[in-house]
Amino acid sequence: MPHIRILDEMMANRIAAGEVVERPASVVKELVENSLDAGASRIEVVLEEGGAKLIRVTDDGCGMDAEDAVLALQRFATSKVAVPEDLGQIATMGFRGEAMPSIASVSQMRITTRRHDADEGTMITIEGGEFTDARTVGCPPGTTVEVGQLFYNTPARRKYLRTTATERGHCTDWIAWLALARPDVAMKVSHDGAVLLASPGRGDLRAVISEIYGSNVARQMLPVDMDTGVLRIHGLVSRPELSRTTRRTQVFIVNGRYVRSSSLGHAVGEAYGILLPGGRQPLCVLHLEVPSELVDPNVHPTKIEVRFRNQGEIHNLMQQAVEEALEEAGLRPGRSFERRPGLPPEQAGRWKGPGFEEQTRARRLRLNPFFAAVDERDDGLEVHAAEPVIEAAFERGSQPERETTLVAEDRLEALGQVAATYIACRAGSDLLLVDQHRAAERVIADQIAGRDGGVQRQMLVLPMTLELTGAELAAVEEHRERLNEMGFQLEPFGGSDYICRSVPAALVDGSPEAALRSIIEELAEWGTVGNDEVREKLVATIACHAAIKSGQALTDREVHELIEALNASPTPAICPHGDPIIVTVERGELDRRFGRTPVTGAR
Amino acid sequence: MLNLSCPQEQLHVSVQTVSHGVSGRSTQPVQNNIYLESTSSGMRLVATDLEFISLEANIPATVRDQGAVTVPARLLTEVIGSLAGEEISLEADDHSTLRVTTARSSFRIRGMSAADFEMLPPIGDAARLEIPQRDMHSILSRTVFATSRDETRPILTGALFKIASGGIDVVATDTYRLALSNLTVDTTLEDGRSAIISERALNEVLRIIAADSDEPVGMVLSDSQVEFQVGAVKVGSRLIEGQFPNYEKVIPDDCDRSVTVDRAEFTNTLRRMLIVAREDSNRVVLRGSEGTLSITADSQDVGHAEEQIPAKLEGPEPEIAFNARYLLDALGALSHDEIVMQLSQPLSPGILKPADADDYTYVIMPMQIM
Repeated sequence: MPHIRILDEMMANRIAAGEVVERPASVVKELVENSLDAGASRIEVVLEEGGAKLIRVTDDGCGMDAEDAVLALQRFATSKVAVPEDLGQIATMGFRGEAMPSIASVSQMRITTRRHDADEGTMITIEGGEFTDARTVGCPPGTTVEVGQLFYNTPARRKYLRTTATERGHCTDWIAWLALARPDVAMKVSHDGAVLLASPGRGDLRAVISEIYGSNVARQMLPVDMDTGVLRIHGLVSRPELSRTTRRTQVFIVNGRYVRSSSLGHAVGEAYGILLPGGRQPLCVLHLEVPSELVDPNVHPTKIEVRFRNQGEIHNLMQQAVEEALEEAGLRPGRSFERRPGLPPEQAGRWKGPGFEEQTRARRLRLNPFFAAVDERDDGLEVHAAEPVIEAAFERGSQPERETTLVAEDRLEALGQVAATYIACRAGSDLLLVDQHRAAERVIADQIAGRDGGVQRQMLVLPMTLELTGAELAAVEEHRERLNEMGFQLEPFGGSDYICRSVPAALVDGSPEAALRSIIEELAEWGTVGNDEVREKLVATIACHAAIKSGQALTDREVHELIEALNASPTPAICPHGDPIIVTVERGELDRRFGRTPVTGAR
Repeated sequence: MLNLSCPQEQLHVSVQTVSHGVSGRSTQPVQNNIYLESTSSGMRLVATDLEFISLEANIPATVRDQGAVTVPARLLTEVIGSLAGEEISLEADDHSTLRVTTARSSFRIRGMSAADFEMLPPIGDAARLEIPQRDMHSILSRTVFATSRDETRPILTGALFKIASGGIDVVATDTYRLALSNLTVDTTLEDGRSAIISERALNEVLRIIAADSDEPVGMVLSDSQVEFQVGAVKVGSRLIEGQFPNYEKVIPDDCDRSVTVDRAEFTNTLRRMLIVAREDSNRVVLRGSEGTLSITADSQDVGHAEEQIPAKLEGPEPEIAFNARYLLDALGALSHDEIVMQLSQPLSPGILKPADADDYTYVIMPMQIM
């Protein structure tokens, strides 16, 4: 095992400080990650009373000698980072070195450890951070850490523990994520004597999923594997028939570490597109292997959030990887026609209709500055582009008609409103139905996001006062700058109150206060997320609140204005939340339904 | 059983007026109807959403039998409106069906039992004052437009009436601007009263009073309700409960520069600028310099518009951006030849008021580009 060193103060400061130990689950996470770092192939976790009474983690890893074990408990001792340069290449999980001393200071801890090459082991007992005993013992190789009576000396923290069931749930969530992250390590967890989970450790992800979500789920998962040479995405995604209402069952693992990322979740959702009804989310367990210099996990002490150097690129590659998996399974129409080499450009790139697929792709092309560099293998729209850097073409606007807006014959022509919710349109010989709320969201989001020089804001005669909960306060403090950029000028107003002095001008005819409250609630719920994502979400939420609602009757003029504005949008088919705006009923479909033989010449 | 006859014209006007009290959104179907009653002296028509609007009209009629019925408002309005200039006879039967007959025509309108129709409770212990219609029109027309449409902040969907012995303040704000109109009048009220009155009721009052009439508007105010009496029509409403924001605090007193312009000229200029500005949140930029006020509008998608008008400037040269629509709202409510804007920093509130009167203050918040 690498030797443990004490980080100097500068190093300690460079690593974001913060509370590591929140609840038993955070202890479980830290200890199991330490075991993984120690090269364990089997890890056993024993919990009592939701972990509040006892957490015992036993591994068969490399173990420590007495000196290392003591050092491990000093603050900022870590064997993984020595100098600032190293921070760029963090490859192990528990690099912060804060965890063990923090845990030791709020519990009764006992560490029993033996190196594989040593004859005898060491047992150290610490109470509330004070060493009470250290002795030589006989024990199997590896390390056992027992954490008893968590928060026994900090009654305030202990009071905040939830019920045994809740805490147990959080612990098993973490072990499940870690097991999914490392299918090669056998993990077993038991609670009050009952085995909750036991992963086989054969390196078979499907087997781990079967253990956690059941064999029925495991059977319905499709393999994903994409390797660009620089980056690899692999794992399993669910068939569309298997979906959930939340993204909780979407697990992303970046370089072996479980992360949360609504960007990646969004990418997966986009790949399914209309295969899933609105509001449904696929299940997935996806591993990303990226060069560690492209990832900055040093964002928050609990390290759940990752930040990618080029979030947009990763998003698009993730979407592409999942799309390919779905195509492979025959669930998503392939683009074999468009992919055929040697096709004249005007045919290869020309849209067959303002369909979802093509526009999703156009959007990806447009949004992804790295696209040309990383993706040469898949793609209809790309074939016709002789220039290697497609983005440049878009920037110069040399082919804007074809790529980024609807071609003339595919422009929507409004026919009328249906059920005060949809707008019936015609494009070429197809019938299209447009969701009016989503269409308006798209138009407004384009305006907000596309405006040079920032968002217009309207100052308020009477500032709004916001009373915030703890989580909301944290979210507002963290994202105040982004909120300000979007037009909400927030200032602390004592205690947990904030006042808001301005609102986005787009919202003045709506309910800006309601919009801001829902934004803050969402931010609080997401926890830590990247700035770009926050910005994207804010635009979507503002657009949602400013947009005309479903069920709102529109005049003919309003209908036409909306459809004209949608025609001008670069991404008329997808609303800012990622849901489809347009449903197309092709001429052929109409003919079929009427039992009419297709007319010659009709497509 | 209701049985009466009355001239078509008067009935038509009353039905039209009262039908505004129907919200159409009531969960009790009967509340979407107009209530018709024959009394000993004539006919009474009522429509109410039981909350912020209640409209009642009383008209003379030849009553043959007393009783009441309710019928769908729109249907009744259309039927009565179609029977031009004749004496109309209304007769209800046991099944709440209303027969509408003239010498030639006969309609049967299916209604609902009047027994289920609810009304606002009679206004209880109340203060009463009278104001000439022209004065009421002036204070309402300059303020009510500034009430908020945002139903998540109910207090701001009404205007505050602050009544003291020497006068009345009416205040409305949607948080982007605040309109304050003051009327000096002996209210004969010894202790002051405040009430927040729904924009719905106030707009109905505005609709039925005349801007140039000296006839009085009666205003009856209890702790929970208000009733305006205009001739034979009564407009009632529950008061909006809650604390209206402290409006005096938001009126700036540190404006160090002023711009005086011709109201009509400024209005026409802003309307032209709005053609461009409306594509980008209605934003116009005002810059004052050497006897002119320049007004510009920019929109990324549309283009640019600019115009200069003569102005009297005092103090440092102003530069500020406003929502043109908010300026036009106030300009349209005023009739004075000249208006003055008192301004300070680009992000500080400005005031718009008549150049030669002190009875109106319009506080308007600027816009800013981030």
